[in-house]
Amino acid sequence: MLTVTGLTRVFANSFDAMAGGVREATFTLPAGAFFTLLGPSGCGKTTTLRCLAGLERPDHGRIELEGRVLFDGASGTLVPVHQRGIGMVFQSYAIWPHMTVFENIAFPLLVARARRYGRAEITRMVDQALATVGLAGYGPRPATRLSGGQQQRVALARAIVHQPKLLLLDEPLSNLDASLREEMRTELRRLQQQIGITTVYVTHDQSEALAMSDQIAVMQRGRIVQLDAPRAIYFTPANDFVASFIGAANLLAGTAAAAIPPGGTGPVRLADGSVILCACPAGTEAGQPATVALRPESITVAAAGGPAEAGMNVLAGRLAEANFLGATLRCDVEAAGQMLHAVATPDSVLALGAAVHLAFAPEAAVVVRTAD
Amino acid sequence: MGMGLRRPDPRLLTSLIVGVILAVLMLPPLLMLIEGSLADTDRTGRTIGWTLRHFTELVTAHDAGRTLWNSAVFAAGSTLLSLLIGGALAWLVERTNAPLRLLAWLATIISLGTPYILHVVAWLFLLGPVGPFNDAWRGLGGSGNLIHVQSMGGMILIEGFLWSPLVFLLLGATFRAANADMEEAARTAGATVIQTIWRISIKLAWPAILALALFVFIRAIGAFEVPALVGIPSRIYVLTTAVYESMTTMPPDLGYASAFAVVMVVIVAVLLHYYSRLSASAEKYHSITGKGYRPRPFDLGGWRWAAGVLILVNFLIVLVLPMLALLWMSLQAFPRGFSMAGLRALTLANYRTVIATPSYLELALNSLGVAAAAATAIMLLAAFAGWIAARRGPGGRTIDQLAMLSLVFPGIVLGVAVMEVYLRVPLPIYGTLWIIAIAYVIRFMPFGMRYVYAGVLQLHSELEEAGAVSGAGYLATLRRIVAPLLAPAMMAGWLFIFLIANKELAIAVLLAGPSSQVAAVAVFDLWVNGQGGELAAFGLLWTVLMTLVAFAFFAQSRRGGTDIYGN
Repeated sequence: MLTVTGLTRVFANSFDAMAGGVREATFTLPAGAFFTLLGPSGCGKTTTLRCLAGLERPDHGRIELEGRVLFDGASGTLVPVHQRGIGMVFQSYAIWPHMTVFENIAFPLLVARARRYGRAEITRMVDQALATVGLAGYGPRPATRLSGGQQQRVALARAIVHQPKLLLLDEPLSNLDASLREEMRTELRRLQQQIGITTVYVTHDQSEALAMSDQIAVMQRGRIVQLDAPRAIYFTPANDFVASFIGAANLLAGTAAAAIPPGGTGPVRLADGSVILCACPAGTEAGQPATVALRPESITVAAAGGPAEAGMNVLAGRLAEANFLGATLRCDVEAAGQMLHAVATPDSVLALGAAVHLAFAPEAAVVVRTAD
Repeated sequence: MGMGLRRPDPRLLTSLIVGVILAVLMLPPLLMLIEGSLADTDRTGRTIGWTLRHFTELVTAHDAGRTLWNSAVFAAGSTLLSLLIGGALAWLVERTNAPLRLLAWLATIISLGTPYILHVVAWLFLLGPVGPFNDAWRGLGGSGNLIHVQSMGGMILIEGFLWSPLVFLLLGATFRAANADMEEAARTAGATVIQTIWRISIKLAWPAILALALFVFIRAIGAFEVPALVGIPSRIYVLTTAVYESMTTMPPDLGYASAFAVVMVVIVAVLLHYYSRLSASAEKYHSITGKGYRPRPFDLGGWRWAAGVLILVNFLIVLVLPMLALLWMSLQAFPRGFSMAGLRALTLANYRTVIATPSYLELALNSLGVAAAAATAIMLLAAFAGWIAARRGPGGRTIDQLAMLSLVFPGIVLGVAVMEVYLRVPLPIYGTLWIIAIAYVIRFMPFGMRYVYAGVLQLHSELEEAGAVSGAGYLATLRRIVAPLLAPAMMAGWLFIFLIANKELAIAVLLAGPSSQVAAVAVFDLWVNGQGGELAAFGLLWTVLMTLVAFAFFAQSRRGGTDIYGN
């Protein structure tokens, strides 16, 4: 179990407008969890990871792994990085070019201080790690003669060979080709399940996060703005930032036409005066401003004048743009006083400029908080 | 068009012209040297046949074995020392959070502007019989001299100090480019700081360190200042001083000097071959670093201040002490050690002499003019040659090899070779500044190539292709796209060549005539004549001027984003 409380590391020397670092990050991971820190670049996710690794000294807060305090700002405890017993995969893989694949992977065993490993034992453990990542027999190969995907696997083998309690992954897939990335995504998740190691994963790719994680923490400007299971993050985003960062939701500005109880459904008046029914997880008073997040794929686009399904919201609009993408037809529709993105089935035949109806279920329109 | 002469392909034409110019510059010195070493001459210097006599006499009459051995010991010792000092400093400055890091840069910049010979003179004074170290020894009750600077040990020490700033500069670049992920990966894998430094940092930098060691070794084999000033008085000869002696005795023994020079060229060529292979393997280590690279210094913790003291001590030794010595010498009417009596007798007489004597001004202008002319010619030629080589244009490989050919010439050897060429060519430039300028162009051409080559590699070739697609012809692309984008690299290269041309003594020492002196040679003559005070005064003024140029060079490199190449 990994417990992180109030973890803060702020960089004083931020030349950019955005001050880097992480503020007051708090989360608890059960053993074996796959946890993802997700956010745009500069949001503090890598800083959080480096604090967990011990590569960065937090300003304050507390990190506890399996009952062992790794950092405690109050008491001044700081376990140095090499005594933390963790495994880490770097974005650049950091495969040492002056060693063979075997030597790279054996390194954590060679420098281990908790116990001394015998030669035979090291060979056995390295071979096992190589087999785990699907590189059996690659041991004698020089590290300079590896493809990107192979480097990635070696980095992973090196991170798990000494059976650490915590595996840290810093955007490990971002340097791979698109096709290889999808393959490794599945593979990483399978491996993690197989070994059962608690894993913290850093990425800016929302589909990676959704596909692999048990829990996702979405970060924005140094703070965790939502910590939830992938489905919850996707279907009930905590605020407009999460909604637009994950799945590029449409955001509609309006006001609550009536009070809505927490978790209930109620009417929201949009800017152009039309009223739609929305889900509101947090509840709201009548007359309060309300931002509605609406996912493109939740919207059905149909030619105007067709039969309306009962219980659905319907907005009238005009088709401004349609892009055929093969599996889907991506539509930009002028409706409710703004441009809305929608996804139609590829066989829809719609003329540009035609009047269309947008239909969506009330549960798909979620009132979200607005981040400042 | 279908009629008359077709216009020649401008690419081919450029390659041809550049190739011919380079061949005319580079090949004759080498050929003349070989010819000189094999030619049997009569008393008047006329060639009467071919012989291997000069080579056999190297062993039988001139104790070449001893000279070779001296060269090897001297070069190896000073390489080791400069690597130790410069390497440790580079690592501390680039990869740790040690304080006072700016001092290391300051020392490097100023030493780049100081002629080697001034450093040597300063150290001869400091470590000499009247210097403060031996003074202190006698003050403590010792008798005679604790340090005998006129020895192999003294030569190694001074040469090591001389090269440490360059080692700092070049290894610093290696350490700076190192991917910190490599070290952090070792730390997360459980390695301590010491284990990480030993097993990862040093091992990763090892090919680069080895390559640099070989490079410094090559340069030390060709070094002239220290062996001439420190070695000759105590009759410790190395290859360069052996060549120099045989050229300055009367009558000059050209055959013998050429034979020795050929031996040196062969040694240097072999070493250079291994050097390029080592550099290539260092590159291989380099290329594996991926994205996500951020420079992150080691936290030395409590050791920070110890490291700071080390940097400070180096600053004192490499810069402050020699400069103080020169300042002291320049303010004394006659040579004497640091003392209260000397302090009371401080005088500006030497400075007055230097400023009042018109020949000093002329000398300074000579030096600046020759260096500027050579640097300009090199950069113009290198702009084409480097671009053709980097873009694999027609004849690119040949042009590259021709331009880099002079790396095999140590300065003194080039002096001999150029002298032989222009004694025979019916051009009235012997004994003028022109011959020195030509020697500079030949000697420093490889540096110009490196700056341009690296500059071109930084430019994506699509930039040029986009120019061509937009309708620009060959020359228009060169002028409007390549030249402006290369300007920062060319400016940095120009300043670098200007600096080292004014710094080296060995090339000009044999070529300078009575009316064609340059600064380094003049300082050498002042030393030989025992005019230490004037030497120091002139040298310090010269150093101030050159340091300004050195600052301009570093500022230009930084602004233009060009790397610094000293090798």
